[in-house]
Amino acid sequence: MSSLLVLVILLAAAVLAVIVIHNSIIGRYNATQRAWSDVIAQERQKNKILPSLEQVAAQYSEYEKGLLEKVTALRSALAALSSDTIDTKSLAKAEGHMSEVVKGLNIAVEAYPELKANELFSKLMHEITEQQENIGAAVRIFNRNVELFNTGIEVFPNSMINNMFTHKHRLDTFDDSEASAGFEYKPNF
Amino acid sequence: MTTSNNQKIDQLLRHMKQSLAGVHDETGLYALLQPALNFHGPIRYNNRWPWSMTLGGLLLILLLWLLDSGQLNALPPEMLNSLWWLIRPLYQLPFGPWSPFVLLTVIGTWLLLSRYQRLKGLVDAIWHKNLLLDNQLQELSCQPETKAREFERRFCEFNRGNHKRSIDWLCQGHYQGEQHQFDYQLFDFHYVDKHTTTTTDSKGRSHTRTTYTHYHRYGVIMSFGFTRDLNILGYSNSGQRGIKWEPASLDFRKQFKVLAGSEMTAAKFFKPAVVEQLQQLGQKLRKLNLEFNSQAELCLTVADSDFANVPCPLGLEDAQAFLSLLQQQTRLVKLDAALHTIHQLLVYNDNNF
Repeated sequence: MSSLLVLVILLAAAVLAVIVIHNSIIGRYNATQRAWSDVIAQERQKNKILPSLEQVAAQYSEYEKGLLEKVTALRSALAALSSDTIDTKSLAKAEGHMSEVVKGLNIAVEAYPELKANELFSKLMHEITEQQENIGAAVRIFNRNVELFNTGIEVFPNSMINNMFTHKHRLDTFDDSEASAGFEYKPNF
Repeated sequence: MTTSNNQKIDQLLRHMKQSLAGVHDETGLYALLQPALNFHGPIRYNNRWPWSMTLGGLLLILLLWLLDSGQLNALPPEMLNSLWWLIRPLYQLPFGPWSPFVLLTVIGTWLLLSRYQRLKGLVDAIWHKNLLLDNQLQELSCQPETKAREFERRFCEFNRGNHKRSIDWLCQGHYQGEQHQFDYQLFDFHYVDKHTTTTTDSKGRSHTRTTYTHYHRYGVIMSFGFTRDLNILGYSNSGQRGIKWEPASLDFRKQFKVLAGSEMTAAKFFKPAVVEQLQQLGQKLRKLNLEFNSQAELCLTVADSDFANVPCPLGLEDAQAFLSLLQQQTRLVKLDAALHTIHQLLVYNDNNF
């Protein structure tokens, strides 16, 4: 009787362990997906600066005619981003347009030093810096979550439970060289 | 000569202690040490007499115990008789034969401790003043218990300790950042937990034992302005309430528990850069709690005793070395890290664009 009870307790503990490990893998997976969504959400924050960018571009359009077109292109690229589907190509496109806009602004500053003293321009540059910091932080958080998730499915006995029940596969981190290449990264969720 | 030297040290310490109250800047602090620099010889008490009294008293107590317990019976009878003849008058004393030796030991120990305390107390006071000046802090006087009650009305963080709560130390500071500046109050919150345990022994007699556990939390209070009703808890909850919220970072979730007035408040506040800043601060400080109350004030608390104080590595024995130490800038590194992070939180939440 007592050995049967021990067996039942051991079985219950094993089932409980499987449930806990399975849930922890799912939890980490969801947190990693959410971290990626945060990257996209930060990217879309660029919409906030578009009216100011257009204002600055309009002010200097006489000299920097291309800037306004670049801002328009950025607006379209941001509109194409979707938080529901992971589309890194659209993200890369938006980032590409953003760097074009920043380049345009830098050219304008070099040509017209008085632009630096412009309050709107100064606020704009500050906001762009803050946005880039947030995107950088979001990417670092995502990478760390990926690392924890990968560890969570590869260590024993998690690997066994993942192979038997959870069926999640390893995710790739977003490394710096890819970042410098302009969001060519494709997360393999 | 020896007594005279100790008296000179007493006079010097008294004079420096009196002058310290009037020190308001670094120049004044350095000038305070001038008499110590001019003092001939090391500023160290000659403790030969107190040590002799303490050790002599202890030896005599030991001797008396050995005689009483018969441990010295192996000695020649003549010697033993002489010893008994010598100590016999002690048994006529009203408080027992031990009393004069206990008194001798107590006086010797008291002299040693009081001299040590006098010297250390002054060094600590000078060092404390130096820390205030180096970190541009201004000490504020307050009623410890009253101030703790006032803080408790504003923040749940002070709802700790079932026996006693007090603000043992309070000062005012100002932080000037690149984009924001703010005033803050730095404090040492002391609280005491009282535990009473009753045990029953094998004979059915019950014993009650009361223990008092002292805790200190150090922190800053300031007007934040950009968010309210938000608690970020790396240490135990002391009555903070709100909706549980988790940012995407798995590391952050391990470090902190977030309770917010609403999900929107938390979602707005926890930008990725904010999460990162808090994670980094949480690695530098122990048991970090941040509480934003309904008036948008922030109370940040930690358990690190070097948050508001750094122990003095030197004494007055070598006055020149002590002066050189005072002339160096001693920053409260952990306080600086916390203030820098608060500034970054302001930057990421100001929404001034």
